[in-house]
Amino acid sequence: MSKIQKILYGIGFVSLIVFGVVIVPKLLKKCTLEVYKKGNSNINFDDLGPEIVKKTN
Amino acid sequence: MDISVDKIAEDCLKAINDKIRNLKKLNIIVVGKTGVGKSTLINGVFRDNLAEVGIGKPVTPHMRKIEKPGFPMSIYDTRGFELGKDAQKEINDEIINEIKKGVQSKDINKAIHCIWYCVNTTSNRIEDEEIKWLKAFTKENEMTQVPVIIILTQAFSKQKAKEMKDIILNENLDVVQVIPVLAQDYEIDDNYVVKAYGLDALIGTMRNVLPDELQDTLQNVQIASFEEKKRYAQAAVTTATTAAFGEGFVPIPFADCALLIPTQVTMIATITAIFGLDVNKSLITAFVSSTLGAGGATVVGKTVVSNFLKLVPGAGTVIGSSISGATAGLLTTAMGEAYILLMEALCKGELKDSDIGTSVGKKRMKEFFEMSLKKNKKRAEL
Repeated sequence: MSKIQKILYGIGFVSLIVFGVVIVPKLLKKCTLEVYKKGNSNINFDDLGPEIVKKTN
Repeated sequence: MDISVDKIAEDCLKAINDKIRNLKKLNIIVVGKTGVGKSTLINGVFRDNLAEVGIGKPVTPHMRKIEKPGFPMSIYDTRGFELGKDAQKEINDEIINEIKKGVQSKDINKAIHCIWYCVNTTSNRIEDEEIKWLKAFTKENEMTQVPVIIILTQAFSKQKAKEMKDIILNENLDVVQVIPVLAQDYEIDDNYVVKAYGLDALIGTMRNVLPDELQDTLQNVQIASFEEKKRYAQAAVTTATTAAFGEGFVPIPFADCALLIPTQVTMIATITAIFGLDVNKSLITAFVSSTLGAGGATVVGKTVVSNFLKLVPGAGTVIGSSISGATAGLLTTAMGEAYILLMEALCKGELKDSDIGTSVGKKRMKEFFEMSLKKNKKRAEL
């Protein structure tokens, strides 16, 4: 591995760590909310009602 | 690269504490006559028996603020709504004042985020004065637009609840939803019980009306919809898996490990905050060591091999990155799903705090991870 290559790897490594520690958690939070919202289903409010069940114990 | 369980556990705990400390405060005003079941409703929806254990501090003549140290929400409980027109007018003014104060503060932690108006369904009808109050209040609320949800409490009869709901809807009030609920199971006799219902619909409605900044808080404090918690936690796993898959592809040898750990730590912290459980270092240490022990060795092996392959220019980098990306994704999904199973077991009491450090607890955690790993390997093969 040449000296320039080693320096480039080093810079890349440090940049990635900074990206991973600072940016990734913020991105994860935002994206998690988006994914969660996309999966939201509509609630059928007309179907809400009590259910009588036999006691289990 | 040295992967220390102790260090990962410490990082996780710090991320969890930061996450919980930074949760925005959710503020709800609960309005309704004495005896409509406000306390039962609050205790049915939010954890820690807030209505009983929380400290109630009077903030206005007709309103007390219920809080608990370290709990990211406040309930404003109104008093004396049944005392007639004058009291109701005062309550209206006090609520509007509190809303305005929150708006002026420009601080999300001080704003009023939602109003629950409770009507007892067993009373058979909603009084005219209540309709008038709601009309006047929603008119005054036009500018501030705080979402109002009408909750029909103690709704034992679906028919009665429907009739009451229709009457309210016919008034064309500016309210988000009218929801019948039964906040806790009701024993009819020695053999039969009416199951609690409607609380999950209330949480679903809250989810839709609250701003993004409060979604984490809502899931942290609510106990009414376990499915909602799981769905949110699963979204955190999906996102972290996608990130981990991409991070594994980074062609710089061993850089993926440096990226992967913060991603997984964030995922664990998010899931913990969603379930609202007190988590200590011994639990995280036991979980991490169990997962590393169960199949983790194979994963670490694959990671090492793929990273050495990345050192080989051209095809080596491509193959190494592909293996590394797939391994990182699989490991993250399995870890996240196993952690959800662990949280679920703790919430349901299937696993106790005292089990955590024992061989029983570690065995269960290992099983959760192996189960998730197996399921996701199968899914990847398809």
